[in-house]
Amino acid sequence: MDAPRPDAAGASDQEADVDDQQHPHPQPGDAGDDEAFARLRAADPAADARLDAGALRAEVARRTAGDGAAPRDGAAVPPDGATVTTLAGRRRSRWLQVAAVGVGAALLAGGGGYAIGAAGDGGDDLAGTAGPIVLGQGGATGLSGAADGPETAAGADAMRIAPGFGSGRAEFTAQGLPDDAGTAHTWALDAASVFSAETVARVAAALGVTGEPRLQWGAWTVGPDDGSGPSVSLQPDGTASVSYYDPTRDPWACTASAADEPGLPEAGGGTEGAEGTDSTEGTDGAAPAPGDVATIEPGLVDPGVPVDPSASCDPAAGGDAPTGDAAVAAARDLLAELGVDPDGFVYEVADAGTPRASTVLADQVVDGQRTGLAWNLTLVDGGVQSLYGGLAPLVDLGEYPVVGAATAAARLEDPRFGGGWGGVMPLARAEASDDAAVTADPSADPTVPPTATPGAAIAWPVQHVTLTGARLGVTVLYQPDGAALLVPAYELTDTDGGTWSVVAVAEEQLDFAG
Amino acid sequence: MPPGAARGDAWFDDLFRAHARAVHRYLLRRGAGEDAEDLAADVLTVAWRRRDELPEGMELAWLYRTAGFVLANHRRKGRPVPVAEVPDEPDPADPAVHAVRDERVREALGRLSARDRQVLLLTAWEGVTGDDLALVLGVSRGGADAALSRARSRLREVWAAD
Repeated sequence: MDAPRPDAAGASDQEADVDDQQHPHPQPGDAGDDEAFARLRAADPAADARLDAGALRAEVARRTAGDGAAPRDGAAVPPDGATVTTLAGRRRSRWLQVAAVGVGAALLAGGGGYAIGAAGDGGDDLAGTAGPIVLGQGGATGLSGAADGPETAAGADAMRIAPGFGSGRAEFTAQGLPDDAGTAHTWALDAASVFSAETVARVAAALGVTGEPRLQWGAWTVGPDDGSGPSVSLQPDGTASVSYYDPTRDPWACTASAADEPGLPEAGGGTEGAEGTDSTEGTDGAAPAPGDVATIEPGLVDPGVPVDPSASCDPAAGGDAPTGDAAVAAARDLLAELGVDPDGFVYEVADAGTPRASTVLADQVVDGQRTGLAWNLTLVDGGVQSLYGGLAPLVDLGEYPVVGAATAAARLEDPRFGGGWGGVMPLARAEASDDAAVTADPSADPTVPPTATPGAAIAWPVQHVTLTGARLGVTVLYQPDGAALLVPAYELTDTDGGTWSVVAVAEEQLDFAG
Repeated sequence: MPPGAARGDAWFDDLFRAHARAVHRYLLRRGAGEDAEDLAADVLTVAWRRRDELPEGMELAWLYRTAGFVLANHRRKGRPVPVAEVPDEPDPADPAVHAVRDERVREALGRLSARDRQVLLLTAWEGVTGDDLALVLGVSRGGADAALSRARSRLREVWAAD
């Protein structure tokens, strides 16, 4: 069985200044490498691509922070949380301009002990707060475990074994929903008020990052940008997002091969040469003697990234991170030092996979509902190793007219609010209709479908959704210019327990200019 | 992973470390430009949310396939294009073509159909072959072999006619 060889422009973890020297597998129809194909291979436009892997990892962690946790026993799969919202037109790579991130990601994606609850649990969540409402790209989304959403997705439907599943077309019926129009508060996030050298200097001081603030790619930055030391940056985006990373305290940054060290935490799996990667570089040479601290062989490490020799894989080096209440207290203190009111958040501590780090998620709460505006902190013994969050304060824009629940339900069929696209593939994992695909042996060979007969009706599946519940809350909305708002939105519940969201603001206060 | 164990953070750590850069390059090569990182984050987010679906041993191929959908979504502002429907006519306006720096290669690619181009780039740049190519394309192994063979011979023809 073939496996894709390492990405052509170099081993996966390397900074890609490596020149492509490609050694092809023999391929069908190929009697040696013709000139055309060789030139094509050499013309790889990503030959000198650079990627800020740490920032990418942090962004993934941020997007998945609200997801339900994977159960430890690997039994039933929970319905997914919010669907992926593509950022086209909303932000352009600004979150990537983090000044300094070295090898290894400090944050974890998704669950691992988070118990925030899947979307659709409504008001039963954490600390009595309701879950965040997330809008899809079109302004409405299906967050259901059993429903297809009018939401853009990765088209993963085409990968399912069961054909014909999930057309993405849906019709909605409201049942028993009041049409209780009224007003609700809207907030702006005032990033402009905090985006300054003074702010980043204050944050750097609170985190112990040394250096003078400088404006780099539009972001205020303190600290080196080559991963040789801690750094912090303040982005010119709608939430005034801050990112801080200390490579010298990254418990995953040690570079010895975990395969040789049976006592090491699994998450500290090193980089090149670690199990499961396609890297062509070898693992460490001789297995270290028991009790030895793993040392770093410079030749085995990506030469493009500075290595911190103090990052040790020895689990005995360094103490344990604070956990539980102590972690929450540490997070609260830190937020207060950053000028943020810690009482405005609910906290959740996640298992980071190693006792040397704890991840704390702090979600901002407005009117008893979690907004999805969250801080993500990784704590280690004696301090904080990384954090990500937004400093922009909320500014009350006053009361805006909102439509009633029944009108909101009708919006799900209105193309202006993201409904009625047709052919959009679901992202959320379906339960009912997907059972056949899930329980079938995934390695079973597909069989040929029966041929249609003359005059037979052509299947055109449309999902029929009956909406019976509504909750008015808020959602984070980014304007085309990047400004961020918290606007009133409905979370509508259907008879299968699925949830759908749509903006609640009345039309007279919406600017539909395209 | 032991069979039956749930894939969690450690699994995702490994997946990210092993393949994040490859996903990013895939997107760059197809003209994603400054959106490549955003789209790579989309792909990896999907990978987390659908973590139970990634076939063991073919994770990278699955990621490439997802990246193709994400990119198509992005280009068409939300309408996904299943791979089987990628058109078979020449399309010199494809952003993937413009990303190529070698002018002669760029011209040759521009004269091929989108389907041929897709197969060629996957093999030439991502090095995806065999069963993995079949998974990324969404066809049978035989279909993938045939598609590759056709694409390569068409590339040779176009090249020679230059």
